[in-house]
Amino acid sequence: MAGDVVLEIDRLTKSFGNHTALDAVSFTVSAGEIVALLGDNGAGKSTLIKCVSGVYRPDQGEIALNGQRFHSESVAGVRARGVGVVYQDLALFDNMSVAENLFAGSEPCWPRPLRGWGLVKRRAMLDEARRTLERLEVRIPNLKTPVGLLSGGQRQAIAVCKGIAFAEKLVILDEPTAALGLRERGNVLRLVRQLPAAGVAVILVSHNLEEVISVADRAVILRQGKQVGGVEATEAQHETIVSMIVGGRPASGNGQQH
Amino acid sequence: MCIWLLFAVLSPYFFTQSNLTNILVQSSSIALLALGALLVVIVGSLDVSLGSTVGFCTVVGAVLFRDHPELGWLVVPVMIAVGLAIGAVNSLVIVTMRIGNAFIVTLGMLYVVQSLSYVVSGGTQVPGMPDYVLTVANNHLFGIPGPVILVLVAGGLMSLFLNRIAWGRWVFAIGGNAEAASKVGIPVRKVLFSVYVIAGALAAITAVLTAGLSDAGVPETGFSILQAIAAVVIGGASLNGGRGSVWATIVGAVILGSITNGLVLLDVSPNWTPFAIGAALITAVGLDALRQEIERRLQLRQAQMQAEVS
Repeated sequence: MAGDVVLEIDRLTKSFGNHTALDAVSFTVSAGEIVALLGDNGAGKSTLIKCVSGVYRPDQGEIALNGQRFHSESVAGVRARGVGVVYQDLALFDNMSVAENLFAGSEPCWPRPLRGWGLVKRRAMLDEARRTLERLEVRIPNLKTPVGLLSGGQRQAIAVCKGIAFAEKLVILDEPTAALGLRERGNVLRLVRQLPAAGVAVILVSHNLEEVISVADRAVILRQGKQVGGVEATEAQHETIVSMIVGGRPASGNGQQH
Repeated sequence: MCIWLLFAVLSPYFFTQSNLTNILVQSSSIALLALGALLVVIVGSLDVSLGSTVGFCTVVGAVLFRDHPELGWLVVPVMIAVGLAIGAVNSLVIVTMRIGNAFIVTLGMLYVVQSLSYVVSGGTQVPGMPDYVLTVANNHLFGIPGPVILVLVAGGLMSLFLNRIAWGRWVFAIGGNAEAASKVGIPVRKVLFSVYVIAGALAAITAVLTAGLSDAGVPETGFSILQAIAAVVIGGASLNGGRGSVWATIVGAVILGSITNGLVLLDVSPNWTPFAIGAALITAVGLDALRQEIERRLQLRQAQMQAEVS
């Protein structure tokens, strides 16, 4: 089912002062595969995401995308390689329109060589935003509305669209459903499930085990910055996963509730 | 609007063409300075050093012209360069070295630059400006006073920059959510750096105007920036960043100018002018808070209605 290896993380290490947030973590994600990244608060999930997306520079270890290693790439550089990130805090600009939010940081500009100092092609941006949202079946009546005026579910949908719309190789989702109601959660998971068919590799961070088991192929578990295991994300592994997350004894007789 | 109506009723002279032109010219320097202040306010910060930068630029220009009258053409470029340099020092300290918050740093710079302008000028006015500077400030083009044209051109360019250029949109993005801006790959620190530098340049252009109007370099305390920030706030900008408008800011400056002008026409003691400006500022902030509250409620209702529909 899974295709070529898209992301290869090799002994990735990152410290903040005395605190080792990530300690030699290694795993791979293949095209068409959804890998869940699990762990308690402070286990290092967010740090790992920020290293891959280019926000943090890892202290040691390698990150390779399609076999190409990079160590200290900028956020824009990583995105240009086809990586999209959906952040837990959504990373939206409430004061800006839906279309602008989708393109923020990589607006289509004219003339192109001027980059940030060029004119924003607003019409092209609006058209492209409309096409993208239609393709992902997200309904927003007016793309010029400031995002701050939208409902929580719509904001979440836009954040997800922003992360996945232009990512051809890898999508990272950090708690994409944490703040959502049941119906909105279903919408987001629908978007996530569409990704493997397009050959995109997916990393899903979630606290919701049911959700992980229903969506993900595999799970990588972190605890206190260390990688403590990797298992198939199936119902049968539920208790094993829980015990890895909390770091107790193996789940047998531990009374974990389903 | 209410202010204009009030003055128009109380003083028949207020709404004559010559008086309105007067108001626009009198408001022009605050309007220009306010454009610089606006840029910094949109990223969610404050630059209070812009006022004394104006004074220092006029003094440097006037001293250069006094000592080397043959270099008159160099006066404006030098003034602009000084404005850019002061902006760059602000950026260096605030953005690159990350010493303290912008308000504190620029407050320090207000005094540093104020002091420099007294040192360079010897504490007095330095009379004399090149002819072309006087022309811009005091002549008309197609019946429109030079200062008004200067404000309109600067406003047009700023509006283009903030609304159409990606870099300008990033200024809004950073003001709206700085952390998200870095997550989507906006070069946050470069944009911030540029903001204080551009604001410094606008202070220098303001200096060219004020020096032309008074035909002198005038060392000033730099407290004019407070009135400029008032104009920005009356123009509806949020001091939390992310919101502000070029034209509304210019209107804000004209409102302040109208208050000053109207009170003079009504023979009110000028001692009351700051009182009126302060009251107008507080009223504007109050109305804005009210507007936001209404907006929030509408938003809630909208969300509820959508929830019911679905």
